[in-house]
Amino acid sequence: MFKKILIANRGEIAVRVMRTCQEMGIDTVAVYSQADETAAHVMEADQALFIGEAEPARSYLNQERLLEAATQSGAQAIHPGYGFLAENADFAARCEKSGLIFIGPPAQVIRDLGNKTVARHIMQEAGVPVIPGMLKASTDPHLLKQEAEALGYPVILKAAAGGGGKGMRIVQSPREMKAAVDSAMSEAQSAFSDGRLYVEKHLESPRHIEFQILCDAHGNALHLFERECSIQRRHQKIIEETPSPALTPVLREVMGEAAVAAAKASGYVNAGTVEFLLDTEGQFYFLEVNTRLQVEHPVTEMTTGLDLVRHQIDIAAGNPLELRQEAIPRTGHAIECRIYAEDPEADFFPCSGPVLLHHPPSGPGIRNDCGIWEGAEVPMEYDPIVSKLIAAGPSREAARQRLIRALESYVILGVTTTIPFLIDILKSGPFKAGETPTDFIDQHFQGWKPRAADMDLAMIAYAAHDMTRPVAPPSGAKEQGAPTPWDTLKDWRL
Amino acid sequence: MRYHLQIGEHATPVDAVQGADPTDLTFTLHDRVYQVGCRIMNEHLMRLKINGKWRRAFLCPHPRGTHICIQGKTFLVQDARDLSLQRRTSGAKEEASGEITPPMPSIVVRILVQKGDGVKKGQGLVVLRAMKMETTLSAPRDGTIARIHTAVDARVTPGDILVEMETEEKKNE
Repeated sequence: MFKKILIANRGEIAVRVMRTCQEMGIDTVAVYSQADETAAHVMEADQALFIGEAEPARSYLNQERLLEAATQSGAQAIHPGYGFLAENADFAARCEKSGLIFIGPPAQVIRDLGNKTVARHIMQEAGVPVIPGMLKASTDPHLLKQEAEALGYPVILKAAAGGGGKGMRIVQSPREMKAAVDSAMSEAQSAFSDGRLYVEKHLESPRHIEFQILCDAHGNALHLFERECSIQRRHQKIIEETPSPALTPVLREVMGEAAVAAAKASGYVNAGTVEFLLDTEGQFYFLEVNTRLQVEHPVTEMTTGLDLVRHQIDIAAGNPLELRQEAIPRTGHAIECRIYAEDPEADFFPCSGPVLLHHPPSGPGIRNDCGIWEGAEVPMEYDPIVSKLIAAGPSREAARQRLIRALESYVILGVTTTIPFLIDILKSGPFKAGETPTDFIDQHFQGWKPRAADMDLAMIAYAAHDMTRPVAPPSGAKEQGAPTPWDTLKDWRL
Repeated sequence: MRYHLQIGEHATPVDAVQGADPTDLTFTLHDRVYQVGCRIMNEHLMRLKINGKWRRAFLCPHPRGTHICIQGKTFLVQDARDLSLQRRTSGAKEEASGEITPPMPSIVVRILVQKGDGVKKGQGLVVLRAMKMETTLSAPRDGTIARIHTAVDARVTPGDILVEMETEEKKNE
């Protein structure tokens, strides 16, 4: 087993990976940029190395510097977390060349599955249903249009190198096609330096269902059931759960088998996720494989009792899987919500700044994977996720009620977060009923505004505080010499 | 006494009456009346009895007001007294001003106008990036670009004037 692992990431996921390392008796090495000198992940690690300026390209994406840091610290393996270099085949290959173990799939697997059309081809060969559409990307607008007509509108244009909704356009009719191709191609070109597009049939109101897979280096592959991640905003998942309220036991088994077939067909090793879309008729289609640990992996851990990071490390160390598909435990229901430092009232504009007060919730079935602390600074350079709050319970309804209760007792002051928006979603009728297609937010929460009654309470609290707090001395007084009892007693009344 | 409080665009007068016990308060917001009991527990925490039920409220002074959280609902409450003070000290004529400032700390990605350009209301002026997301600051009204005080890659914070516009009204003064 490894003695020391470098975690090439930051924030909550770096902290989460380190905790498993600590349990396994493995030393941890954090890396940090100028913006993260006092970040949570730096304080969690046994050792922390500075890797550069705040700009991701000069630190967390700087492969040279990360490899140097690994060598310098004597780490034997690198865990990439998610985002940054987690799905970068070149980085995985460079680790291998430098004699370091990359905790993830082999570079060639990342490369194959990262190319969306190559992945579609692999899946079709393996008999996994793919969304009807092209198997080869193109930059020829005429060819794209012909394919769209053959499939029938509406269609969706996607970038071959795509991800994160970039270069993606839904096209309703032939008239919109030309403008959509032009803008998607230029977006793909600037985001990925690859403007090639392909056309797929667009499914109306599908659900996003994904299967967690685990594969070792000895040919064993299995799945750890599904997660439903249909609640999305701008193609970004915000609430995830397992089991999916939409799957029957039969469908779960069929989709699970397809996920394992997909893993085997691509030569997969380590933990990964096979994503599907499920249409309103109960037909499922392969979407893509994420070749890393997912943000939403905790819901799987909460219902199976397994530690996915421990399995990742075991697999990377060459150990065979000791689990058997039919003996994988699973109980109850878990729901995760992602808490972002964004202002839901200002079109979700990110909010950086200092965390002035932080009281995380606790209680039975509650887990908080958190990347901030009271006094920390949420930097403006990185993804605005500050925490993932997960609740598990014996049933979906129990988990839902727990998550609402936990969100209502979660206090984060200083930076604005999406907590009020998440509470309203979880309390809504359609969510409670499990009616959650991917256009849920557009259907029910477009232009969300907080309730007037909630604002009344905040205003009352302000006024009540103003009227009953001790009278502060004149503002100039503090600067004159020694502190008075008013300074040392703060708001306590005499 | 009467407070003039604001959360975002939502401004409300709050009438407050203190009872014989100074911790017994009655608030009226438009036609909504709340009977409130209040205990200050420490500098960040108070307990509020609102219409018979006790709740915890967490408070923190924030550069732009007071950040308050009750039952997971967090708002930045601004007091008109402080707002008018801010306005006086900054010397800016808030409403009529054509001074463009970012809503959050961010980085300038692109500047879409040049000095002397005529712009229409809603036209994009400066593109900012914060936490991987881009947003465009646009012209609040028709006018002409008088000055540009920023450059691509600059780190900017609320209060920094990025672009000064000369608006039509101002010209006529």
